[in-house]
Amino acid sequence: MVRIWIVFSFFVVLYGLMVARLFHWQVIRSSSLRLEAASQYYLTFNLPAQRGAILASDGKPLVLNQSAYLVYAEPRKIANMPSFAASISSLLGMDGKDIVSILSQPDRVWVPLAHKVESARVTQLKDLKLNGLGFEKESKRMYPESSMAAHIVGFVGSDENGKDRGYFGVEGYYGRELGGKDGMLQLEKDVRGAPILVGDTRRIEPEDGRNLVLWLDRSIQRIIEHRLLAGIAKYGAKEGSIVVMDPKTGGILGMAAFPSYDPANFGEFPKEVYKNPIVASTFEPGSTFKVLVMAMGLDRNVVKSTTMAEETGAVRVGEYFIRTWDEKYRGIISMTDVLVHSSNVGMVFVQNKLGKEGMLQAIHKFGFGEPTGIDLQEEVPASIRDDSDWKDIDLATASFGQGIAVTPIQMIRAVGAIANGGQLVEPRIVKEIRDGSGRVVPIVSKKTRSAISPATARIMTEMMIAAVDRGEAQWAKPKGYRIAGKTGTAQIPVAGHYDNKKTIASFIGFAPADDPKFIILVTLREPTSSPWGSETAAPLFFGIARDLFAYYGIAPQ
Amino acid sequence: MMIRFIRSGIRILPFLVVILLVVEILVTNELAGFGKKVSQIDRSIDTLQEENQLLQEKVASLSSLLTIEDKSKALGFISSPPVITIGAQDVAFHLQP
Repeated sequence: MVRIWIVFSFFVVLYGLMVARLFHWQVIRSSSLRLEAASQYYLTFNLPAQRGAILASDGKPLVLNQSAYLVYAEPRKIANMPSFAASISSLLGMDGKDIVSILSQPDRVWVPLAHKVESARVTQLKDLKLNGLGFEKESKRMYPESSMAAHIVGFVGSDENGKDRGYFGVEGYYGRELGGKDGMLQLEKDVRGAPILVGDTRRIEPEDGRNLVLWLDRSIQRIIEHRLLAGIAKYGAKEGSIVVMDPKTGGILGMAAFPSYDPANFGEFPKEVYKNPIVASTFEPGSTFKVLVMAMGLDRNVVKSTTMAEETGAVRVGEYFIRTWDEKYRGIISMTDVLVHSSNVGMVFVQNKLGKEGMLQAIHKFGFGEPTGIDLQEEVPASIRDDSDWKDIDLATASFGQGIAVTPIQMIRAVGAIANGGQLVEPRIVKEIRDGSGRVVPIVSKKTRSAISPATARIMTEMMIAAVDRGEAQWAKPKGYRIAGKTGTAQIPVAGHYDNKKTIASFIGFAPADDPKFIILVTLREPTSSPWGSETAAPLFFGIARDLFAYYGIAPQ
Repeated sequence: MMIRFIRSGIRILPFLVVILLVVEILVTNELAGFGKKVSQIDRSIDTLQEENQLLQEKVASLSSLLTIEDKSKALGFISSPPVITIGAQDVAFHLQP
């Protein structure tokens, strides 16, 4: 009986072992075995998806795909290596010796020589009829407008696997939409590796990337790039930027910053210029910030446009004295005149009326300290100090735009709220997304919140019109138009103190003031002809405004 | 009855095999020819797509603002001079005593 049980147990154990082994092969190793088998049975080809195009608002391409090729060599088929290398080196822009050394490495059967070689050059290479030289189709980005709007579009480079990947701008932000999805072709192969004609075939079609239509107007972009370059040269500035936005929709009609780069040859430029300073760099806005503090004062009903303030001398805040920019004191002045003369003393008066809570509300309600949500990859939130860390002197200097860092895009969005009746809108670069089947997905700009009331926005607009008509920059203003705006000159903090000679000159304004078509922010860093915004950024702003009036066909009122 | 039916079936089996062989050869031949046609069509699709892309590239570069600006300059066009708006107070009539 015992022997029977021993034999029975032996078979049970044996059976258990068999089940365990089967479980190992069929469950645990199943997927890897299937892959190994597939690699023996099938040839697999990648069918690359075409990257989507980037179009301007008129449907003309800013970026599209161009036919290009990967040029490769098969060393085993090459009879004379030095002569082969000499024939192709000049066309590929490579050194002949380098080609020979790459091709001579042992056990190499397939050697990629150059990526994204243009069709014309490939035709020349094909004409050489060299054995061992092959071509594989790739696509390459083409920029018909050259380097126009480089900071908006970004560029396409390679990722860690050598595949195309968008960096910066909309190429980076909309990488998934533009990139599409690669397809695959799987063919059954015979023992020699040749495809079997009537064998099993599986094909997954690639899904091409979707096209992006931007708010950007090519003509406006051309105008601002042309004007900005001329302005930087004329005023001897180190850098400069211009943003044009539709204040009602938040659509970015133009955006330029210099120094810039050429996205087709991005590798030839320093990496520092890749980031768009309009969304990725901060600056102290200076007097342009006054309109926002004043707007909050009006909105909270602590001041009116006719409220009078005393401007009889420097005002003391703690151990500091705050002076007017021109050291002139005009006695008793109205709030409108505070903006007209850009009075720092007058702004401290408004800030005192607002108090700490009101001042912080102005900063938060106008969206500072948070990202605007613009669809560009490199936006920074431009953090501001915690509410509890604000001291009296910080609040006082912030009332005239010093000691607070903002991005140009935050600034234009905030002042845009005055232009559009009080709403803080989300700035948008992309207007709609179109796929291959013609389906259009509109991108709607969100109105994030109400910053001020429409009545406050109307009063503030009138005060800004007065600031243009009677302010320091009135000489540059085109006659007959109602333009609301404000100049700004901010000193640049260097090693813990402000440098008197280094300024950021700016001008922000919108027009026609009663029904704004555009809002423009101009900034110039360290202009040398004059440090003042009224003598540098303002004339540049009005030059662009003149061009836009002509472009939109807006007649003087 | 049944045995006779099976016998006649066996008798015609070789003919059936031959007929099916011929049909298979014909169908395979047709398939091979069809495959050639498909590959020809695929090739012409590729060629047309490539030509289409080249034409798109040409259209894009010819309609770019850079090209338009160059062509207009070559044709003698110039930028419009700045518009000067004269207010009523600036008109000579108002300057007379």
